[in-house]
Amino acid sequence: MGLMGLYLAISLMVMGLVGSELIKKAFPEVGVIVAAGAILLYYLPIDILIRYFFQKYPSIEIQPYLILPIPRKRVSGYLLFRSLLSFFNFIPFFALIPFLLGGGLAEFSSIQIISFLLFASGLVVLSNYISFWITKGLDLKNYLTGIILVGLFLVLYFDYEGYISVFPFLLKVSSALFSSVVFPLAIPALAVLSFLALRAYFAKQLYADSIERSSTFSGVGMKLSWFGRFGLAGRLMDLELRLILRSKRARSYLLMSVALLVLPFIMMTGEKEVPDVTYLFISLFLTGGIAMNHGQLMLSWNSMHFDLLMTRGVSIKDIFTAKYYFLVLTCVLTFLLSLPYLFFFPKLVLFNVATLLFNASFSILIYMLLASYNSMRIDPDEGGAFSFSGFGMAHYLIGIPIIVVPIILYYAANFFGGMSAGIMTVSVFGLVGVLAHKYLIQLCTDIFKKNRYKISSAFRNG
Amino acid sequence: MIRLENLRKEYSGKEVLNIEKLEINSGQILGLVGNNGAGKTTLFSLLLDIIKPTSGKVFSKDVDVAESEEWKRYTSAYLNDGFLINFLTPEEYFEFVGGLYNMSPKDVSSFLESFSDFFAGEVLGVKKYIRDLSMGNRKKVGLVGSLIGNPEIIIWDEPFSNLDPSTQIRVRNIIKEYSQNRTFLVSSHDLNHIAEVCKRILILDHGKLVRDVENTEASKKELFEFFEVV
Repeated sequence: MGLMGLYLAISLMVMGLVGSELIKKAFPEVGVIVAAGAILLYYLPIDILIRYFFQKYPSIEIQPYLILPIPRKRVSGYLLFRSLLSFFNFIPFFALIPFLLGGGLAEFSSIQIISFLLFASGLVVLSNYISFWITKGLDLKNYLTGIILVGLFLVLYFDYEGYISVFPFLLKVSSALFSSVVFPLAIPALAVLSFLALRAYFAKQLYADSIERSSTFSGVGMKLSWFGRFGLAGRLMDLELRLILRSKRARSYLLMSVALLVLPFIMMTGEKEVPDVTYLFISLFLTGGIAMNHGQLMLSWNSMHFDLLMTRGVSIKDIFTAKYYFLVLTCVLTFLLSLPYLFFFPKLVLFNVATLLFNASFSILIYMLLASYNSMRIDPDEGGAFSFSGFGMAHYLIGIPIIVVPIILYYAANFFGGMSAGIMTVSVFGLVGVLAHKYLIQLCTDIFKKNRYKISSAFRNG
Repeated sequence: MIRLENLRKEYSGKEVLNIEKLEINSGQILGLVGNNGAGKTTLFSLLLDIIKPTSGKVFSKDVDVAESEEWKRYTSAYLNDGFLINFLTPEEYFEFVGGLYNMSPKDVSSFLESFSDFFAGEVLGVKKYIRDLSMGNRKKVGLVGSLIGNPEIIIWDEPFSNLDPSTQIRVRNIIKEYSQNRTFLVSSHDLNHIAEVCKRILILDHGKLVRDVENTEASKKELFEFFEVV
């Protein structure tokens, strides 16, 4: 979560607040409630796909209950109930509640609101259990999993390309449902049915060996990667890469960061005049996305093997050096990947040069400083992209310098010399940091050394 | 080689270790015996500078381990799972550790050849990550990993526990074989293993060093008597 989570929550709330106005403009011919219902139905397959890739369903924790005198059905029900507590089930409400408060309320009668909320909650639960079933119930090698996932994806893709039109169909479904306040309750009823069916299904399947992690081996990159040849720092970077590819949470951060690359299309397409601050904001996330998501947990990623790193032939400085170069490389990589924006938003690429330099020095320095003062233990293979473990208040506060400093720098210079002066100033600020990186690494190493017992003990004891 | 001076460790006011003076010379096999909670792991963790002493100092080759990182070049340890990297395969783990000492993957695999009996076909080439190995096999990986890089000091905490009887004997043989020109520190709550391999035996009891003897028939008898339940 961290910064990304905060950003996501705020975006959703804003979206919810202006939601009913947008809907009125986009679908003047149908009621707000019908259109909102159709949008939620349309979101269902997307939600299932997102959950499949990012949500971590509970499993191993139930082992102690299996040998206690508790009916299997209750254990299975407990497992299903636990999955409801996942943060994923609360995300939609970040938009739904503001939606009702910001205009939705005025449109509906109170009984309609209740029925709409039950409908929406039912969809959330249904999506949770369908995805649970795909992730845990079906063997991953099962063809059915692939068919369902590819099927969902193809429906969305064909709809996007215009070969089929799902949305008008969903509008019809939704208007049929919301023609009465009772019909929408079909969805929560389906959710309850899915719970009962899955409970029976899992009760039959629950054995310690079927829920243990089966082989997680993927065979990725047995050979030393390209980094490996660059000495000690290279070895450590190779380790970092393997960690990302093989740990669920680190991997989902990477996917999330890559998804950020489409941010300009979402935020700037169709806008007549985009303010510079939007450019700067997008650009910061574009070139620094991976560094932000991965870098804010810096040393926590290594918490489970930290004693090895602290006692064998690598120094603390080697560790920070490797972390720094690895994160710089991710910034360069995302910069290169976003170069094609030259054809769509040429101005953006100019901003990217500035934020590349800024992220490659100042932002990474902040993550390194954070790590050298305080770090918490995490299991990189536990919890998906929306896990809170390992994050403290400081992880939210660092967003202020990382976003505010470049904006202040830019506008201060912009005031005197316009856009090019602003970009130059941010770039020079970053460039100075890049040139001084050895000094910055040493600085963090020294701070870390003072705090090393506290941090490594936190890594050991959780 | 290693020297402790007035080493004390407290956890929230409760003393868990207090050793006034201890010197360990190069080439010794030192056995550390004690009941649960005697302070064995605490002592090793202090030697490795992964926990902070409440007072006192640890010197390795006359350099304070808390001040310099030089000792990391010639010291290795396996205390617990925290010394394994669980998302790597055993081969990758060995290559990673070897890489820290400029060993090529080829050097590492020729080093591993002599351990094929020890691994009993369950570790190398099994296409599993370390996190998916059994407890015993993880321990084997950790022990062998700590021999990589030609360390001068090797510290093993409870190397015999969680291993099958024949592997326990193999571990004893490895200790004997590798102790040439090396300092080996081994802890166990099983006096039999320690008496079998160690030249010098220390007994820790409630954080205090209560015996420090050469391993002879006479001293062995005395040591066994110490642990007898009255």
